[in-house]
Amino acid sequence: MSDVTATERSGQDVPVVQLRNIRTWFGHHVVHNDISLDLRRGEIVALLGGSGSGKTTLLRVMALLHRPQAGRVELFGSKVRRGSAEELAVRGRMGFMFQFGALFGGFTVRRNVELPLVEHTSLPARLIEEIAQLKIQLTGLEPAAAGLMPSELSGGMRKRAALARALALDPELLMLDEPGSGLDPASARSLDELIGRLRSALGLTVVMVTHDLASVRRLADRAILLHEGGILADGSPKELLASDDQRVRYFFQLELKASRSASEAEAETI
Amino acid sequence: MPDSAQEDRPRIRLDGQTIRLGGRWTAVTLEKAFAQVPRKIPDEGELVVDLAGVSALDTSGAWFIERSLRNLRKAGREVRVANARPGALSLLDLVGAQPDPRAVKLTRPRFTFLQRTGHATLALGQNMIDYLEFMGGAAQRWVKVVRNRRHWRLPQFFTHVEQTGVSAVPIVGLLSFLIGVVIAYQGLYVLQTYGATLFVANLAGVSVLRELGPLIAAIVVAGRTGSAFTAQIGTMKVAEEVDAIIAMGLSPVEILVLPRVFGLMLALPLLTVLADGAGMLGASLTASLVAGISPHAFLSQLGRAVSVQTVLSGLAKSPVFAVVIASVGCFHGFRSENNAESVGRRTTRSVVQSIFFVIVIDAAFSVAYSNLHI
Repeated sequence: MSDVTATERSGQDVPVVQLRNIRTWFGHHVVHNDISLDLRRGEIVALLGGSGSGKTTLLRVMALLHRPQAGRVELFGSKVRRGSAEELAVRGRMGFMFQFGALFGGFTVRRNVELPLVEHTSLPARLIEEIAQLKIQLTGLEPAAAGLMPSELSGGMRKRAALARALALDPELLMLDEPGSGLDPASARSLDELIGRLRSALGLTVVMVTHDLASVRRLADRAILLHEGGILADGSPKELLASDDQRVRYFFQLELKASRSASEAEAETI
Repeated sequence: MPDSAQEDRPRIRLDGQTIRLGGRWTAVTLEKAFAQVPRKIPDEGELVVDLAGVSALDTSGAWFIERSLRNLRKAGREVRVANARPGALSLLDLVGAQPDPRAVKLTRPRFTFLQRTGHATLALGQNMIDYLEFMGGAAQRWVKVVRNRRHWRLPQFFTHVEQTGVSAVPIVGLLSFLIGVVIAYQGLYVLQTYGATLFVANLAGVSVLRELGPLIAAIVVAGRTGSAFTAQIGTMKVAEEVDAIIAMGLSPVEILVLPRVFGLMLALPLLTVLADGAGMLGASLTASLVAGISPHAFLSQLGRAVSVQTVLSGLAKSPVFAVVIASVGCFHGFRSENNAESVGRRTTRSVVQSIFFVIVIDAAFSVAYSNLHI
């Protein structure tokens, strides 16, 4: 019995991402002190934590963009050595959306999205153009925006273009660094809906760093709260919100207040 | 990948009115589907696309199927999809709901040769105007700053003197030394036939002290420092640091441009003195090795051949070169756009233009000197 999605082949039970005893530090500042966690296939996981708690660095560790000082990272059940052929294969199975887009400034939006397809497949140019165009439209950009240069995009458009590029190869593992930041609430919600639909259609595993609690509640199956180098709480968003731990409550209270005052400010300006 | 290659590829099989699809339909495997697209399909009746055998489907595969469906429907055929699993169906829906990506024509305007020539000419003129405007603004700022010692920014000034001057000593010294060697060597070759080898001091003295010393120093500095200025300021622009300076109510010209310009105005004449000395050393050494002219004889002949005025007329050009190199470098830095490519293009342009201007100004000096009988 085979599954429909592209993700089924390497088995359901192997964690997509496995971190064991990760330690990272910058100079004298310890960012992660012995973090271990497993991400299962099909999960949408939100990494939460105050500023400087190491969320983005942990995401970069998972994406093999930052090498931890100690610890083991396994992706799709195998330990990936830097520079190996395996690394390229694994990178083809994951997509990373950078916080500020990291779109190539010399290419149009569509060329940016075409690039992974051109490099990793041998499809005819016309089909690649169509697929790239489709991805751009899927993320909610105007069709004509595909012809713009990154410098001509607004912040929200840049996010969507970056997502389209991260999705170019339909990765099994999608990593998002603050996908909702800089978006108005309606756009943030539609971006969440898109990610949710793609997850159910493609069986994506999604890890995202976010400050947007509304988005966590809507989308995430699991939230991980980082605090002082370790994992303070790990569970469904509901469980975290119902937690008795003073520090967890403190974090959510703060964030709730912040997001409330932000939406109030928004309401006033409208 | 553990599966056999056979299972990896997408399969298409025509079975009466039914088109049966199987295998993996993903971006990486999709290429194999093209060869299997049936050449002939039944002429009439409803077609059924059966997805029962599809083991993997992603958006690229879904689009391939969706576009074939659209083509068939456009040709007036009835098609329906059968036996798709829920995930595949939801993906096909998602893709099918999008406006046709083929409908989008992205046309960046293309220009004819004449249009491009026109644009380039206008841009060249505009570039000159912008540069003059930039220089005007810098001069204006300087007039304000110079009166107030608090605005002199001596630490930055000396940092730039060190980075642009002291660090360039080895390369400028070596190049000028070699130029001295080459000139003396080539000159001796000709002078020997007249038995006038001692006049190699005149030849090397005038050409190096008046022209080549200042020029070599300026060209090396344009390549080393002009490019660095453009890249530094261009990167600051990309990171919005220049905007931050403006937003704090400070002047980017005062903070970034003036210390660089004045730093180089001190460093380049000093490098020129070094270039002059190294060039003479090279010439003298060659003369003594090739023609047996002792350094003492070389120096006394040099004293007869050139005056202090010769040295000064060469040195006088250096501050002007320095202003041009530093200001062109900074100007292009500020003109950079918000991307890496633009910073690179501006850096290239800054080096090419400052070398160009250095040579043009050098020619202007020659004409002026000869009219003034210097």
